[in-house]
Amino acid sequence: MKQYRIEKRMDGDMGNIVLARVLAILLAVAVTYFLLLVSGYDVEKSLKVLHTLFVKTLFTQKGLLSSIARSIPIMLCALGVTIAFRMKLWNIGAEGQMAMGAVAGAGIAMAFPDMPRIPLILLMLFGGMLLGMLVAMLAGIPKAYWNVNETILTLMLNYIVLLFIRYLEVGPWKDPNAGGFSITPEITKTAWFSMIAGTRIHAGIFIAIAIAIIYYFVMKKTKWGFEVRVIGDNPAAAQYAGINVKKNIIWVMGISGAIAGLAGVSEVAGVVHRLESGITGGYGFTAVIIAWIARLNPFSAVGMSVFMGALIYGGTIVQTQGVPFAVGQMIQGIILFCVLGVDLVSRYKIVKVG
Amino acid sequence: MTATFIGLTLHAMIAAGTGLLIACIGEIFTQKAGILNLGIEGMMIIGAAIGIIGAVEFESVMIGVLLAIIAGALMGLLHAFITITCKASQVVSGLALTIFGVGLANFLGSDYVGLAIPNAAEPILIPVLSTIPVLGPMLFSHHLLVYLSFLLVPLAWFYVSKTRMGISLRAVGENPAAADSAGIRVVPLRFVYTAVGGALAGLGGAYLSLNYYNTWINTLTSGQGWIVVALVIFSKWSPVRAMVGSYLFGFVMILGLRLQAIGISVPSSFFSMLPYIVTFLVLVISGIKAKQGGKHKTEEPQALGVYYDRESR
Repeated sequence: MKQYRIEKRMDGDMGNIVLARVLAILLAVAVTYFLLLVSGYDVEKSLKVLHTLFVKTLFTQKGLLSSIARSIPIMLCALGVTIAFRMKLWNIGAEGQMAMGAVAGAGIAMAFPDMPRIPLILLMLFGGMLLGMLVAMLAGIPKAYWNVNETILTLMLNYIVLLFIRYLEVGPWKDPNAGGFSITPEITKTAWFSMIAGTRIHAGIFIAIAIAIIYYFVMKKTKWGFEVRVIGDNPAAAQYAGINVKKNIIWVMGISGAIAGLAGVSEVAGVVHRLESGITGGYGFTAVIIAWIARLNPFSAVGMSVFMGALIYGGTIVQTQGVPFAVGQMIQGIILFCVLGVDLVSRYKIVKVG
Repeated sequence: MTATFIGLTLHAMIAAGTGLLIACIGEIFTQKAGILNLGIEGMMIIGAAIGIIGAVEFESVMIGVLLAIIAGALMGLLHAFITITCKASQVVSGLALTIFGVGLANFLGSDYVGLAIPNAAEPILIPVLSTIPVLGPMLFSHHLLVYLSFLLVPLAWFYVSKTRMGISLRAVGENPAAADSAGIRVVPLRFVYTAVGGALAGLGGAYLSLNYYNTWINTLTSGQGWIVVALVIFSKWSPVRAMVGSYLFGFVMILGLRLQAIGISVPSSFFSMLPYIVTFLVLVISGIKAKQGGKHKTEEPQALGVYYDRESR
């Protein structure tokens, strides 16, 4: 008699992973549908919400372009988070690092309104990377030297930076010509990113794609990329092989923060054109979900970012139909759970015994 | 400074720290069993939202509190299912719990923003004792849940350190393989204590919405769940130290308002930052101390966050 046994899969079979992801997302849609029904929406309305969130935003030209525009800061944050996760550094502070990048971008544009376009934008990008990096290193250094939990440190920094922006907004950077409103002044037009004609997709998209490509090659082809992967897989072995783990923790955190910082600059220069306290919009957390679902592959992360951008864009549409914006955020959580749950399937296989 | 001012300040400190304390005791149970649940923020905020919804819909704060406990426990069970049954990373599942919890709570709570709670609970003034200067307002004029949290601390301490069940709990978190050999059922116990942690986080959240803020506001817990994660480390997994730590944070949280009350004004953003800055510093200092004390001195459960696989024993 033939018997079957469940066995651990050693290799990551690509087809299986894709199947698991598709299953997970379908499951997440089903769970969302169920939750919408439970919270009092009728069948028709619930289906309409799902249609708006997943179909209108991805399978119509206008929707897809808007979703891509939305996804730019998410992409950058996700790529930043990805490199940290590759070393098993749980940086969930992309939110704060992005916000600090926005502070740098807006601050530089406000300080040098007469600078020519190219040097000004380059300076903003540099400043954003630098401040994003410093914020991340504030968590990376205690992690490297005293093994302090970086998850909580980066999270605390999120709150601190966001409140700091609030302080700038009502205090020193408040626009005196805003009629008493607590907003910062609009940055000079020379600092605005150009957009692809007829869309809201700005130059930040090219930065994001360039970073995905650079990330891929650095990880695959350079010695340093190899070191990072070894530390991520087995820190003890890395130490034994003479890799400086401490230094790498600090730098990888720093680079992770620098990329998130670029997201902040791109949001200031490409979308909002000023610094405001809501500028990060939860993208830092969405980035964590994406990095995980994309299995730390930069190109999958770019694709998943568009998907999440669609959810967020969809959230703003359903809001006009009387459904809370938070529905998008809720679905993100559900998707992550479904991915975590269904992952089990892709890690095991059924084999015949006897 | 007058006795009244000091009394009111200490009262506010305890009131502000109670949500942290209840959730912190819960997470101590969960972590003692070897499960790291970073989703406290998500469980607390679900407790806060469900608490309000229950209290408004059934016009009973008690029902709200009960539903919040159940909702928190269910969230805990979800974490247990994902990490124990589906073998997913405890860190990522905890993050998922928070993202999902905050989203769901804001979604469900959107109809209840700013709504007054019918038959809202009033603080209970304990006869005679509540009239003692300083100590009266500090300890004897609180909501019922605050008094319950006073009881919870010694009970949790006694349970963990002095009972047979407590020994099993610690064994599961310190050395699950040995516990398993000794006939302790590792997986069911981990499920139970993760649910207990969730239930208490839900209760802590319900305290915040039903007693402390007295209404629902978007993202009501604003990071308190994460402060709890830090508090567990600060408290070295001891309920008694958790109490000290929670009130310390309660004090930091109310400091701004109290200083404003006596006319000292600093930009409010800086005061709002204080709890997060203090959490940051406390963690770093605890880390430095643990490093100096050597690895053996840490009170962290040895198997915390490690997936227990019977096959690879």
